[in-house]
Amino acid sequence: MTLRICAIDEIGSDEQSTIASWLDRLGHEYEWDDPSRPQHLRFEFARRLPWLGLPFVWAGSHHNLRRLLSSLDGPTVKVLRNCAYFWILTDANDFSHPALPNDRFVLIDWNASGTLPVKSSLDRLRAFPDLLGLSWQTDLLRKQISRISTGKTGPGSSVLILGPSGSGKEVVTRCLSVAAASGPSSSTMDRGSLKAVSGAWLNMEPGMAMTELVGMDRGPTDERIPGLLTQSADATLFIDDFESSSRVVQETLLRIMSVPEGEPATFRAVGGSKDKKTNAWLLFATNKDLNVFLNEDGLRSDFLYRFGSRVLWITPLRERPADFPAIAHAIWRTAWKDAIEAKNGEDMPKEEVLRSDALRYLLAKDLAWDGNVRSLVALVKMVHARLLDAEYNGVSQSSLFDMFVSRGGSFLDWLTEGRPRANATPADVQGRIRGGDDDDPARNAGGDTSTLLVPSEEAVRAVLTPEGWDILSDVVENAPRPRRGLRLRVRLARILLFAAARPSITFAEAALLFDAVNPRKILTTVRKDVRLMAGGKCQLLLKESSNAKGFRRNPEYFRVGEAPQ
Amino acid sequence: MKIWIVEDIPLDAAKASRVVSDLAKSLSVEVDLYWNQDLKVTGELTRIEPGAITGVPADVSGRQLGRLLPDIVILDLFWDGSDFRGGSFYSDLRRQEIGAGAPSSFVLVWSVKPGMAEAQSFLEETPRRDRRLLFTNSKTVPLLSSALRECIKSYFEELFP
Repeated sequence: MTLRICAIDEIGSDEQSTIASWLDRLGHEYEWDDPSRPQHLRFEFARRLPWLGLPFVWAGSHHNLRRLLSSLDGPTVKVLRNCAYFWILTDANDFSHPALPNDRFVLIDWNASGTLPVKSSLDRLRAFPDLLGLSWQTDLLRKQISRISTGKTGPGSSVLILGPSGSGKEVVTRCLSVAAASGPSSSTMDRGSLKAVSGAWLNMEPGMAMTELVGMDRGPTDERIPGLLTQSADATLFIDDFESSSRVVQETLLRIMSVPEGEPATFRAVGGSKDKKTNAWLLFATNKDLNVFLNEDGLRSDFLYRFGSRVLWITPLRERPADFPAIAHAIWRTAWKDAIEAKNGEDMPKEEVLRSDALRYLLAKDLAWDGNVRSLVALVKMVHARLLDAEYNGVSQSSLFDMFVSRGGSFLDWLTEGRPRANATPADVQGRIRGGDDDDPARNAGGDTSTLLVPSEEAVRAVLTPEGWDILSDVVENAPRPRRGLRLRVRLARILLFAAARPSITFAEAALLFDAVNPRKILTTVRKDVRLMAGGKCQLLLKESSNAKGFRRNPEYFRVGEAPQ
Repeated sequence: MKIWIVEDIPLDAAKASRVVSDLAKSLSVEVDLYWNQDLKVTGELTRIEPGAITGVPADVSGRQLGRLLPDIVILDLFWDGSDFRGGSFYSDLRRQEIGAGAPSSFVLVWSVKPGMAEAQSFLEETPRRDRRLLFTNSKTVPLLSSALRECIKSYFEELFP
């Protein structure tokens, strides 16, 4: 991972060479941002550095550092305060600012020769390329993984990984396994070989479950079954959601774990007459709350004590804002790679990086990220798919994200395609229901007008209840001549679609919906249309607002209650 | 930011100019606006004030053009019955941009959809390869305004990635 350096003000050649020699001593790959940029552009780039998902250094004078830090927006400060992989290089060491984390070493005097804290952080980052994120929580995980994997491994040194669903427990397991493969046990063990099973797989009739775990030595040799403990005798065995396994499996594993650290465990296969030995390194993971576990599920507390200091806790993604950029960029790159492979590179737009503005927008929404990294993967992939759809050409990445997250904060909300958007604009509505250009009918003459009705009907049926639809049909059928017909339907459909997306509509907004170059010209028509739906015998699709500035929808006839607003 | 209006009809150019003016104000963006009436990249280019269509001709000779190449183009797909000039303009523009080492501009097609096969094929196929080419579907002011707003947003997103 390249360390990015951004000089936020003009640094003289002497200072540049001092910083360069400091960077050389780090022994890591680094990249200077173009120092010839004008000052205001340097600030822009500096402000975006926290969103690149890379470790970085800001270098500059106290005065400009203060200006830069004071100009950061809320989401950027959030990332910065959570980030364990950025530093400030300056000409003194008495600088402080509220935007900086005060619980870790951030400030470096470029005249001082010491590089150790930075070097060791970057070494850690390089050691675990699959564990993405720059938050202090993920940094702590790296330290813990490093500590555990360089210690003794075996049944007496089992590890418990706790964390909510989708937080990255499997990734942590892989990191442990890979790190242990080059640890002190690597000469005699094969810790890099990882076998993963789900606890649910071991939730079966006790005899069968035991056979899966310890194997069966009864009968002819070719019918004997090596259990998981034999298959992973020198390897790593990962049991995910271990609480789902049957009680007998849990009890057996507890016995296996009871051996002293570094010692092999003994067990006997089903039907066997001799003890067997296993050096399997057991890694357990669960997304359950341990208190619930101990109190309600009857888990023995001594099971927990067996793990000692080898318990890893992965915090939910929403509490690790500094992990967002690195994880999102990685998902984005994978999405591009997959798309290019799938299409063999043909008919593909030029590859785009994930924009800082889009990430900043996303973090500012303060979503719950219930599915943790899985929700982020889903969202980024959905946005990426839109990006490849020519219909969304030119649309900014922030707006593409907005198309989903404005519907709500969960994955299910993001799937509500076709439902009204909470912040629909007249242009959005026009895009969905075309036709009916009263200002210049000739403009639409090229299209087949008979098809314009169908999308209007589909869109409006989606936002109206059956009763609401009946009312609208009645309104159209009984509309006074010459206002009946296609144009009226299109106009009313647009008004309703807009009203479904917002609680109310004004005459001015309705006028904008009609594509009129000069909305004032058709305001009379608009007023008649809105009143048509709001009055008389046709019941009320729209009601006059109490402030008399417009009309609000009658919730009884709209489906919007079913859609996130 | 440089925006070109490539439009042969003065009335439509004026509408586009007003849209640019409104957006420049609401987004606090400085815009250098040019009007190209010839529908040729190297054709006459008039520097105009946002909101107006009168101005002074710009020098597009030689290297000057490289400096005036647009960030965003509002393009009419002009078809005179035998020649699809909007498509030729787009291809020439991309060539000029490559030659000048300039980034590809956003080309916002604001036009009445012509029935001719070349235009149909251009609007269906080219946007799949070029995310910076978009079509508003009809030549209305709100659609131009909404699409242009997104292009400006995308431009700034890319300026500081």
